[in-house]
Amino acid sequence: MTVPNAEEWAALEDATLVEQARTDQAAFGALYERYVQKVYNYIYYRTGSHEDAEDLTARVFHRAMAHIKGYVERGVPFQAWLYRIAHNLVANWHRDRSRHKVVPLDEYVAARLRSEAPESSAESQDEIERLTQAVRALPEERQQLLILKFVDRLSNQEIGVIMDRSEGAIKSLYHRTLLALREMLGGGEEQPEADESTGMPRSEKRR
Amino acid sequence: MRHFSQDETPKAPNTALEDLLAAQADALISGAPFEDSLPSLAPADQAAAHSLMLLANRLSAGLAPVTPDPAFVARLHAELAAQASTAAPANVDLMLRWRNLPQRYKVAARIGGLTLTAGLALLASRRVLEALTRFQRRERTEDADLSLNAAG
Repeated sequence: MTVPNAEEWAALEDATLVEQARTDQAAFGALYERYVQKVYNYIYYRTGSHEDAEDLTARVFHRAMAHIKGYVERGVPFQAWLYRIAHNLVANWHRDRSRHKVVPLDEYVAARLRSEAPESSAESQDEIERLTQAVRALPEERQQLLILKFVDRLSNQEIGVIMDRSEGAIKSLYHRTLLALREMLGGGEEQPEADESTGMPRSEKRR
Repeated sequence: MRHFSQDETPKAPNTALEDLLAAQADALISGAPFEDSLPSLAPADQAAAHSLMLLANRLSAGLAPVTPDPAFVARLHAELAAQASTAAPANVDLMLRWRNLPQRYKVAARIGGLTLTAGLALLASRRVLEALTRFQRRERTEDADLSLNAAG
């Protein structure tokens, strides 16, 4: 039996890798490569600090590796299990701090510039700051929903598994989250770039 | 599934609007073109949908993914590999070891376990019996004392 190389590991499904990862560290390495950025993003947006995101991301993967032998899927895929570990660690992190930390603007903007081409940016720095602060003022589960959806780009079904809710409940929560956010931002003061045929905003590829 | 708390319960669920917003969000994150279906909504909902879809556009543009420091990613990968190589012998799963035992060892272990349990049960029952006997003897003695006192 030959040992798979990195590319072959990467082609395998999560369930197969998890099974292999119980005895083979290389399989866990492939899972790590697959999820490290998503977990890091989730934690970064929940904590607002790269240092804390690194620290908590490391703890998520150390914990996952320590417990992978006891992990049984039972309706919670590996990805959801990983996010739940991250969520619990972030919740503890917030509990350990007396006040809610706000993403520093300079760090946030620097990060955004690192990850996005300048020509695709249609938002001013002020507007991004305002939007981010409004998101971070939302209740925890609404922040979680928006981060999983727009930063980690998960489907409603995947988000539902992570948050232990039905897909319909996630749609409903998303609707109410948008309503709350619109209220916080002071309503739709900004007019869209309208589609001439429908009068509605054009959908566009943002990233 | 978790239930909504009272304040989270939607007062008037608007499935068509929720579906539209969900479809738009899916299109935003996948980069696929989105054909909105606003005419299917009630006129009152069309304006609400319009502003909420704008807000979703702003969120999609504003909440951009960040990239972790490659040095951090590599360092953590190395740490995990090192942890796995040192922790492996200590973390051998007992159940896994049991399953891998030859059948005769399992039978012997079961017989041994049963013998030990039976022996312990026998010892315990003897202690209980002795205590009961002592108790009954004491009661008889006390009864005899009482009857002697009554006779006197």
